[in-house]
Amino acid sequence: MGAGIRWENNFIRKGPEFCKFWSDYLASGKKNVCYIMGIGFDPRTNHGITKIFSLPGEGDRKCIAFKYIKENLVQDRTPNPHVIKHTEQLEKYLKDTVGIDPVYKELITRSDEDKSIASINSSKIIESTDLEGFTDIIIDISAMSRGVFLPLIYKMLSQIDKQVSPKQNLHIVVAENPVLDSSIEDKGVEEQMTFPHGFRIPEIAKTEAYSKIWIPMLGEGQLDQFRIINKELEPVAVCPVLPFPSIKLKRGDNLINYYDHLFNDPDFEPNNIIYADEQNPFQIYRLLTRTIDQYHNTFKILGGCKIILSTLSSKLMTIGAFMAFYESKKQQKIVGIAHVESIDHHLDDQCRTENSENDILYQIWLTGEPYGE
Amino acid sequence: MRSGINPFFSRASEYVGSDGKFIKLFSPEILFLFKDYPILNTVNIFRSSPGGGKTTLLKLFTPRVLHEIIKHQKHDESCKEIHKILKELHVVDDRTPLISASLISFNNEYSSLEHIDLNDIQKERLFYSLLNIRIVISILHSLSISKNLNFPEDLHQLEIKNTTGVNVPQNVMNLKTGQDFFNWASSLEESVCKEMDSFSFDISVLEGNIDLFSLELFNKQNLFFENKPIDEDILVMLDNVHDLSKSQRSNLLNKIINKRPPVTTWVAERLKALTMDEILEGTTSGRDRNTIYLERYWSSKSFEKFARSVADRRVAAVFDDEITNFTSFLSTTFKDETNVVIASGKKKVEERVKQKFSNDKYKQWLQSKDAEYENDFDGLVSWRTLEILLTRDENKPQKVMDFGEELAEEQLEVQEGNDVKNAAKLFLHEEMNVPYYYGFSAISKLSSSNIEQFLSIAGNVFEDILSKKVYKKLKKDYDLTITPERQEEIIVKKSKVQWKELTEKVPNFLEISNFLESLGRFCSSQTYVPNAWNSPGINGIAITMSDRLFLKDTVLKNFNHPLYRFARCLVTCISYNLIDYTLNYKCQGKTLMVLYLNRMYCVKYNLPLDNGKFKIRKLTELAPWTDKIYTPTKNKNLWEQE
Repeated sequence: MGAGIRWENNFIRKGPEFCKFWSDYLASGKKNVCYIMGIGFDPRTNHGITKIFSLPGEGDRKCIAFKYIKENLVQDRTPNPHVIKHTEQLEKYLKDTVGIDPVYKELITRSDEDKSIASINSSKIIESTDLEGFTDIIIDISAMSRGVFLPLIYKMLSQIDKQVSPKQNLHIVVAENPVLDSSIEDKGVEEQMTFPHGFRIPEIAKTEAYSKIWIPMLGEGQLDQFRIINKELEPVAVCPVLPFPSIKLKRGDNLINYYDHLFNDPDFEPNNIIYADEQNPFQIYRLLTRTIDQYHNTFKILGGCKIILSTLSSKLMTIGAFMAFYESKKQQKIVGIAHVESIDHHLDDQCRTENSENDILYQIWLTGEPYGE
Repeated sequence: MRSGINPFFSRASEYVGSDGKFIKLFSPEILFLFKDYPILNTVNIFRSSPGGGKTTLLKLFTPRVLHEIIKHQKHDESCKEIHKILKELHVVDDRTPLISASLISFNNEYSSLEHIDLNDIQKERLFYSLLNIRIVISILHSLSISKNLNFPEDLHQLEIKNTTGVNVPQNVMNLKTGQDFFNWASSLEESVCKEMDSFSFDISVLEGNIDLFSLELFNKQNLFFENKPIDEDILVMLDNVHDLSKSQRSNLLNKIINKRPPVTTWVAERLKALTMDEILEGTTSGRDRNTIYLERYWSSKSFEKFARSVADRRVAAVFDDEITNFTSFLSTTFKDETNVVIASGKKKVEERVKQKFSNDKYKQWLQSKDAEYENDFDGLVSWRTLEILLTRDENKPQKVMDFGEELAEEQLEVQEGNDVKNAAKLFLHEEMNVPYYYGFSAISKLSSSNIEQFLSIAGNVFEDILSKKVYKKLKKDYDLTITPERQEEIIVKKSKVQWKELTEKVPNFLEISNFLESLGRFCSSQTYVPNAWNSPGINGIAITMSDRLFLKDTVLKNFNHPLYRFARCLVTCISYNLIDYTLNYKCQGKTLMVLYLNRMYCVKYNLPLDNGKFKIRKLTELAPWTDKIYTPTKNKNLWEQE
């Protein structure tokens, strides 16, 4: 593997380089930018947009902001005070600095029957949004859950891939903050695993006998989710992805202790462990693509296999998994992304105050100019 | 991959990969329910809270498991035992299964159809199209196993006749063999599933109508193998029906119940899927349909025996080289520290009783307690029981007519029933922290007839046993038993964890929590009175059946009714197994619906675990409990006279 993979050459900027890139890029000519973001309780909600839209540059600016609504019932619409604060901050910032108002899109995350419908609704929203005329589309996933941003990016990338040159540029922006991430608690998880819309492995008679290979990207506080997926999938092989190198050097070791049931299982094959740089989604993409290819080729003799990725780790690593999924799916491999939805989240106020400014902004350019498209 | 080494945490047997392991862990007592309900030519609807044992029961009837049981009936004890019962039920004979069962398990894939951009009719067509496909494939698969055919290669050996039935879609009418049907179903399944996961659904893939034709077409009379009609009865088991959307579920159930398809159909679902009406409805049985509530079935039978069998099978999976059972690990001998408390407690209670009841009337009773006891605990319980009885006697209205006649020892024996002794133990637990919640019987009762709840409590205890087993490897005479103190510690911790989990699992938890807290406090206030008048204690309330009918037919139909919140709370509590209930209980000339607090939460309020006594309350008294937690008018008072 290696030659011929889509993102063999890639474009990623972080920290100080993030601002430098956007400053140079926006100054380089007319750019019509559409910024798609979520307004959540996460203190990182407005960090990306305020950095990029404050930079001078010619061209139109638009902000599409997802408002998360738990149920389609008027009486239950009592927004979180942090969401109200972030909304007010965004509106004020856009009015004062850019001279525009955000375009709100309501995203209903749960059905009347309390089932998660965020992923299907997220792709529906983008379907009904006119993005013509924009040279650059930025999806800021800092305040979006996986169930929301995965179908959104999938849909957007599929649409752009169908365009003829010059294609729109698609950028993913994420504010990473490991301390803050580990402080966000899941308040209850669903009893079943689910595949976000577009990421399902078809459970059909033709492939029923195919073995399942599971590639979970491990992270802290996700043991319940790990167990639920493992129990439902009953994979024949598990290839856990551990973060190495990572900012905290012992993070991978700690995760081995945390998921001791997996690593102490006599059936577990230590050679299956994949070590990936937690800050480089393109490396994760390359490693996962290679693993998927190897299993796909090996199991071809037996008919085939189903490969399931699970992102129990950071959003940055999730982007790497998405790219591996997207490319493998295009090559007609049976691949999906399974996860377990959290019912709600909680972030301690003290932690919010102490850590909200310590994040690092990442920019991942998925398609467009640098790829000669 | 194995999920762990504690077999109690193999949540339900359905998750255990191999059929052999599944059979080893399967406890056949559940099969006796088919002595009350028929297996074939009926619609059986199994309902329970999560972990009630529905899927485990259904899995037993799947062809691979039945074949495994038949194959090993002679030399494997588990298979032999299950085979004997299945043979009596005409599910198998000595050589072959007499039923070919298909298990179709619903998941969120089906309910997600509701959110695809299609109109209601298209959604319904899509749902039944997918369901028919899955039923057809599943029946063909089961028959292949029953007939020892390679699947799907040998399906041409199966013939399906009379395909021109009224509800059969046009394109299916031309299909003749199992192979034809498999090819049709599997390619349609592939294209439908692909569209379902796409960003824009292409409706041209939709085939068929909104009928469940598969349950009519694949009946025994239409199926031929080697030119002869097949011998096996066809059974279709639809599991996890609660995972369907409300409209899919009600539509499907109506179709099955009203049409009474020729193929025997079973449905398994959780109580949470039921409408509020259905929850308060109770059991429905008839010639063509049986609704079986598993927890209620067990509450009327010996759940403890069933639980013992379940536990022993799991213990055997770990201690396979030794003859042992789960109960043998549960010690009833207190630790030394507790024995010190008990000894001083006995002295204290004895002195208290002698001081309080120095009246000559009680002389004989007091003297009878001065006997030798086998141990201090028996003595303590005996003195505490006497204190309760003497308090009762003192409170009697006849006191005014009392001429100081001495009470005979025989009268004491009559009054000292198990209930009073149990109340005394409960009081000692409250006063001196002497363990009360321990032993197999307690663990079984704490499960509220739910097998998963049982496994979860027993599994926590078994974790300790497993740790001790490791030590035993180093020290041969290491004691593996768990003390009553430790058992209680594990149980209390588990109760707290389970309560905490409710906040995340149960909708509208604030009002539910208020109601349960009120119920717990109310029961506690009624239990802890010096004369233990309600011995062994109160752990439930009752409403009249006419009040229940009023809730069901009037209140639940009107969102604005002042009792609506209470009715909704009651229904949620039942559907999440937070309260157990008994319908049509006759008491004091009234017919009642008795609502018992789930035994796991009785621990939180130090309440007894037996089906204790209850108090009848009016709806208007109970309704405020959802808004404001009940506060007893008096504090707990265990020995002071009022």
